[in-house]
Amino acid sequence: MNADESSLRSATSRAYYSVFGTARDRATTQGYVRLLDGSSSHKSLWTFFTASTVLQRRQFGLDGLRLHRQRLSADYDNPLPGPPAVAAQDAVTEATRMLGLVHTI
Amino acid sequence: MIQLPVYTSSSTVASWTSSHLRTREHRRSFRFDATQLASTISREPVFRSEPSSAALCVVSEGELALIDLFFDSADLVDTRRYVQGHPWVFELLIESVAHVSRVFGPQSRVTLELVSDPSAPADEELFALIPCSLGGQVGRELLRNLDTSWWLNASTRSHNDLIFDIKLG
Repeated sequence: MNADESSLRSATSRAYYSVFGTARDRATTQGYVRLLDGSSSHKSLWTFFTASTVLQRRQFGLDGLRLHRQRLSADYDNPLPGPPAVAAQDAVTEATRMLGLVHTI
Repeated sequence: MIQLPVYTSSSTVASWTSSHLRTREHRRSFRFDATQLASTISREPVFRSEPSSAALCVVSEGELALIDLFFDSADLVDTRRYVQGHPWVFELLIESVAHVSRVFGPQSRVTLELVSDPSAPADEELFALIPCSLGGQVGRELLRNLDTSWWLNASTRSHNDLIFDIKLG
């Protein structure tokens, strides 16, 4: 793995965590408490949103689960399934979009 | 093009498939009309969307053959194991064929990939990855179209065990 690929993987991962942290803070103000049922903190948070009856919140949760997969791929897949620059660009774009929505849900 | 029969349930589909697609050559030459398939299946759908009741249901070998027929799998053994353990995922995958075809085009062949978080290995999710060569922005718009026209409502039956996404590259 070259330095450039490492940077791009890191960008994907950081993009995810920026959304995860902000969404968790938002969810906490709405009564979210992580269930200690063995599921990951990530799945637990996004399920909080997908379980909603409000379509916008459900969409936000689905997109969070998708971005989480991108982060797992960036952190663990070797080799990456696609061009790292494409994945990083997509993740940053998605994260930016979601950060713009998080306070409206 | 093989003329598909009128299905009344997914088990009928499985029965038809196992009796008509026995050879690899036949499977290879099989071209289906996804819209026709899904509309006929959905005439009398067999919903197995509740984990509690679904535990009593079994995904048959014939039904698993349908998954092999319509989807690629990153790991066939793992995918089969997962679908057998999550019958509601099977129903949604079959439903998805027509919807994905409608939004992404009839040539879109979805790849199934089991994803787990190393921090919670038991937490598996099956991702259905739709190939998209048009770039991330167009791909996300198409995915949003799939969400609003079908998946956003259907996903409530998935219990987050199945997730659709695009595959860039």
